[in-house]
Amino acid sequence: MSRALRNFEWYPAHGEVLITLAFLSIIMFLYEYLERKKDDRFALLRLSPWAGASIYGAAIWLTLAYASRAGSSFIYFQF
Amino acid sequence: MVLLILAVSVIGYVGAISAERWQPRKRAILWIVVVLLLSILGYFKYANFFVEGFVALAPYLGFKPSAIVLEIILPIGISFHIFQTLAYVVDVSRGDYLAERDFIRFTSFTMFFPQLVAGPIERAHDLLPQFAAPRKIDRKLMGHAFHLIVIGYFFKIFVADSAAEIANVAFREDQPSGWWTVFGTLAFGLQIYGDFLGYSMIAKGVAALLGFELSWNFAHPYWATSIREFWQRWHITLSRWLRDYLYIPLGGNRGSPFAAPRNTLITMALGGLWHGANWTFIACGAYCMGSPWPSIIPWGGGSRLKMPLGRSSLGPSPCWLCSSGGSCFVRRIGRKSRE
Repeated sequence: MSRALRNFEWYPAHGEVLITLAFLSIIMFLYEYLERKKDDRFALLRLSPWAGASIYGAAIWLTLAYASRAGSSFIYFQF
Repeated sequence: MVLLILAVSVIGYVGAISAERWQPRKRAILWIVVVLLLSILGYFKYANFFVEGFVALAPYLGFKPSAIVLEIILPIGISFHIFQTLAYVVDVSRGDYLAERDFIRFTSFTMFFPQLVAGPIERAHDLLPQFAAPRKIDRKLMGHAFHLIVIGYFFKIFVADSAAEIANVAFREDQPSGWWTVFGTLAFGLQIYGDFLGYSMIAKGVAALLGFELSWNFAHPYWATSIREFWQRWHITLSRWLRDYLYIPLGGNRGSPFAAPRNTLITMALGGLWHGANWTFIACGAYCMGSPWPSIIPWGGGSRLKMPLGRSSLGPSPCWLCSSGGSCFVRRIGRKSRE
């Protein structure tokens, strides 16, 4: 493991991974930022109907689009 | 599985009524219930861990045992189920809650489907009365259920499973590069959070569809600015359980200056062991102690946890890296030890 920290050579494929991670992190960040800003766990529900429909629509579409992947079971089921 | 859950429920039901009825002997009854429930948990979850530990240690003690591996299937959600039942019996024996006489209502509480397999671990006074009260299912509750289920599935399937693809590559490598170590650490932090937050939201949403309200299990843990705050925001119902039924009975932060660190260490190590029968989980518990003492005692400050959503913070903090790093360490070393 410590040997890994001596090998920081950058490959073009790393950029793709980094963008994916940044994208996923930004989604989580924005969701939590909105909740914290509004001090409301259901802040998304209070958005304007168009904004709400777009966000929930996108969430449902992405969930269905990615549902066919070989997903893993919930991690906490093993406990 | 159903018989096992039923057996645990019967132990809890009979134990609580007995402890309430025979007050002078309630301590002995409580110990019997604790031993019975922890024996069941120990057999199903930790038998192989202790057998393997004994086999590894035996040569140093002059024995030569043959390696035995018991083929025990771990029933899904057994830890959550036993912890919830145990908490109920302790609450009744302390006089904090009256024993439930209606067996159907009680088993509905212990076997409540939405939170049966992975929590949240509900306290009796929060969930049991909801079975007796008339349920009101209105448009607002349905809205909340819709939000929780849609966003919960999104976090699990899109966020967590996408992050898992990156984390799996990083952890599959024997000698990952520096960048893959960083990517794997960040990805696993996203994966475990998206996965468990997603599950908790779906569980809460399904319960809302049935007219029940379950506890929140997360309060933006990656916005925490210390390890202590992190544990107040991560898997809240387990943290509360450990505080109320382990840390405080051990003495909490009362007594000598070493009492709080010692009790925290025991609690965190057992909390780590709860997550899995492996030394790596105990090590993870110890890892969580890697901060200055005053800031790591999650339950030292007050009797109730308060974590308003609007509390100001610096934003997602190094706790993400810190907790992800610890989890990755457990996952990586755990994989090595299984090979």
